[in-house]
Formats: sequence, C-alpha cells, structure tokens
Amino acid sequence: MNNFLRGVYIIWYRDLLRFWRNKTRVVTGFSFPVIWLLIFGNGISASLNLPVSSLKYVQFLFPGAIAQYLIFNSMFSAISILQDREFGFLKEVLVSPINRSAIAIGKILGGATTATVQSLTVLILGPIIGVSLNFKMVVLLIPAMFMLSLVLSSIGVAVTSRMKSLDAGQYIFQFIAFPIVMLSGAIFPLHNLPLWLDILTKINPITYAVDILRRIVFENLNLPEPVIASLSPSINGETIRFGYEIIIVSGFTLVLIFLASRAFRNA
Amino acid sequence: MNGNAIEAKNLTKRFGSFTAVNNISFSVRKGEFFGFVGPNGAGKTTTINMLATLLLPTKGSVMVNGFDAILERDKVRSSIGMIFQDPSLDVELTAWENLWLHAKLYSVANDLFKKRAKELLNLVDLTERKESIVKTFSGGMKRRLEIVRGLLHHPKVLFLDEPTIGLDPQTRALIWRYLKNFRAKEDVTILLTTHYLPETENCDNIAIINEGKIIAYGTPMDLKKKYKQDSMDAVFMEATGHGIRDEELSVEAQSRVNLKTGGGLWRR
Repeated sequence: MNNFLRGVYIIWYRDLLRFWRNKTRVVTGFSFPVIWLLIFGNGISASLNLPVSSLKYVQFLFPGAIAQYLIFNSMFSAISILQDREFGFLKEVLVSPINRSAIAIGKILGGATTATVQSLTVLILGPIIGVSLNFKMVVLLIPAMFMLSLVLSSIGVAVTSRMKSLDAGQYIFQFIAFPIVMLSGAIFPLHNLPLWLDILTKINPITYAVDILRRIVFENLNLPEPVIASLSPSINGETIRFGYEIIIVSGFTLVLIFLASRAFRNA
Repeated sequence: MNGNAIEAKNLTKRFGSFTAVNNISFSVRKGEFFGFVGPNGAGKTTTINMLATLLLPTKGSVMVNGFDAILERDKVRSSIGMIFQDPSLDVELTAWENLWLHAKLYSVANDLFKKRAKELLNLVDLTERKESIVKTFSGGMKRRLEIVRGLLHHPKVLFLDEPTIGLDPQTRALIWRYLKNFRAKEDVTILLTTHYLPETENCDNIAIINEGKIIAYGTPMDLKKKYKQDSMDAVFMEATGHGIRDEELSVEAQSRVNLKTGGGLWRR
C-alpha cells in the first residue's frame, strides 16, 4: 500500500478501535439528544408555533439535533489529539516514519467516521416525535452526515494541533462548537432574523450543511416543497439550491482538510 | 559511511535566549553502548529529541545511521527505536494492539511482526498479558511493553531516555537483564540517558553533559581515573558539582520562552 494511505489508514483504524473499546460512551452520550429532542423540543413545541404550518418545532429540531450531536461528537474526537499529547501517544506517532499530513487526515477521517456512526443513533428518536424514517432517508443521510462531520473534524484537528494542553479543549466547545451550532439554523429557523444575525448565519458554511440534512429528512416526510424551501437559507429572497449547498459544503471541506493537514505539519 | 551510528557536530539548540544545548559534538560507533548523563535540565532530552528528529537544531548537524536527521527525517525515523522518558502507550488498547499499531507505523510485514512480537514479549515475560488493556498494567509492565515496542521494527539505534525512571530496584534490575539479553542476541547501538549512574558502569563510552556542554567523555574506567573516583556516581558528583539543580526553574523558563517564540518541543 502507498505509504501515505497506509498512514491515513492506521490512524483512522486506531480511532475506530478506541471507539469500539468505549462503547459505553455511545450509550451515555445518547442522553444528550434524548434530553435535547424529547425535553427541550417538546417543551418549546408546547407553547410556540413555527411560521411554517404543518410542522411542529420538535420535528423541525430533529435534523438540527442530528447536526448538533454530529458537530459535538466530531469536535470531541478532535480533542483526542490533546489527550494523545498529554498521555504521550502522540510522540510515538510523531517519531514514526509516517507523513504528518497523513496523520492529520487519518485523524479527520477517524473523527468523522465515529461521529457519524454515533450520531446515527439519534434517528431512533424520530418515530417518537412523529418523524417517520424510511430507507431512502437513512441512505441519503449517511453521506450528508459524514460530510458535515468532516468539516467539523477538520476544524477540530486544525485547532488542536496548535494547542499544547488538554485544558484548552474546553474552549473549543465554548468558542467554536457552540457558536457554529447556534448560527447554523439547527436550533431555530432562519426566519425574520435581525440583520446582523441573518448575516452571521449566512456566512456560516455549516448553515448549508445543516440545511442539506433538513432537506433530506423533510423531503422524505412528504412535506410540500414550498414548506421545505421556506426553511432553507435564502439570498435576496431566492432559496439557495440544493446543488449549490453541496458545492459550498464540499468546497469548504476540502479547504479545511488542507488547512488541518498543514497545521499538523508543525504539530 | 564510516562505522559511526550517530555523529553530532556543533549541535546547538536555543529556545529564545535560553541555550539548552551549546555547540556539542560527539559520535557513537555502531554497536556501542553509549551513556549520556547529566544533571536535571542539562540538555539530555533536548539532545535526544534532536537526534531522533523530533526537534530541529538551531545550529549544527546530526547523522544517524548515515542519514541526515534534518534532511532525511523519514529515513532516520525508520531506523531508530525510541523509549521515551514519559509513557507513550495507548492505555485504552491492549498490549498486542499497541504493538500491532507500531508494526503498521513502521511497515513491518504481518508474519514478521507476529514472530518478533511473540519473541520479545517472551523475553520480557509479558506473553500472558498480551491481550490485557494497558491501563491495567503496573509501571514496570508498561515500561517493559514500551521496550518491546521500541525494538519491534529492528531499529539499528535504540534511544533509551531514562528507561528505568520511577521503577523499583527489582524492576530496574529486571529491565536491565532483558536489555542485556537482547544486546547479546542482536547488534544494536544504544544511547542511554539515566540518573541511576550504576547503570552506566557497563557503557562503552560515557559523555557527561552540564549546562548544555559536554564536560567529560570517555570509558567508565577513563572517567574514574580522571576524577580519581571509584564509582560512576562519585565521578558524576565530582564532574557536575554537588549543588542541587532546580529543574523546575529551567523548565519553566523554557516554557516561557516556548510561549514567546511559539516553538513547542514537538515542532517538526
């Protein structure tokens, strides 16, 4: 096998191995979307109506909750680089003849794979809140989720490769993960927002990744097309087309993978 | 190439205004057992990190196994084994998985890896525990596993950075018995740093480093004669003085400088 790919493969494989060892983390982590969807979602649904009829807030939140869980899981796995630094394993990898960019890419792919697998568990909650699942939806969601977590893992790796201590990890959530989620349309619809907030959500590339998830879920719910479109980000009253969203997100992903592997060269 | 496994010339490392290693030159012959000793903060680990391509020298050159440690890093990395001062195992995986990952990192073929790993685990009496999660290991067992891992890919040069630090005398003796057995079987160059001076009595040559400079070099016999002492412990005290070194200070100073220059230990 090519030397570079072998490096990527080993680092990716190790992440999967560790993920498998920590199966309990998957179970305990699941409490997060449960609380978020069932308690927060239903609670808000009880007293607030969306500007879109025929859709309850908790159902609107469903793809957003998947996205949010995905974002947090991806970021969390990037923090494992800080753990590796703290507990020494990073030295073992850095002194080996593996290309530094291969380490970064392996780490990104490992984080994206485990985050996607873990976040798929949120789908189980769908039927409870009135979002029925079907085969096509799940098949389309997997690559969309993987793409979103690639972006987040890349951001995570780029940031953590510059950090020296494990304590710094909490700032990643505070200053990166939370704002990204809040400004992505995962929690509230991007309707009637004050101008400054509107601008911030539109320059956040994650907004488009979240919208991809939402379209996949709602199109398979047989919601009328105008309803789905009304939830998507728009510029000058024009809803951004699905194809463009994919281009925006994949372009952004490639740039970030590049930046992360560069950052890791100096790790 | 000549018969040298390691050749350092005018090696210097500065962290900002702090000079950790100051223009040192030395060489280690192939197959030699070389001791590199000095008080805390003298520059031992900084030097090893430069030899092992983890740190770029500010000045000077390093050849390891005939490869340039600055320009041919991957070739140097493939040909050396490293046992770090601090633990570097993945404690959430089993002993065998740690070894397997290492074999993959160094492109050791699978059947070769299995044979070698079994042999080495046997040598350090860890065969029974190979399927256990490393978290459950004692300090001594972790060290033994790290030694196995460091030797797995048949390195030509093995760096042992304080390999017995924090271990009880029984475990220290055991580890040295393993290393001796191993040296008798295979042709490997060893560079050892340690604070347990008796461990250097069997070295072919010893360099004593103090404040970034090599202040004495020779066989244990030579050094004992030179300083008119009868043990390496006494030689060390005589050569480097009896005052206590405040590593805390120099490490802190170093990290302050690191912050300023952005130059962490693991840059490149």
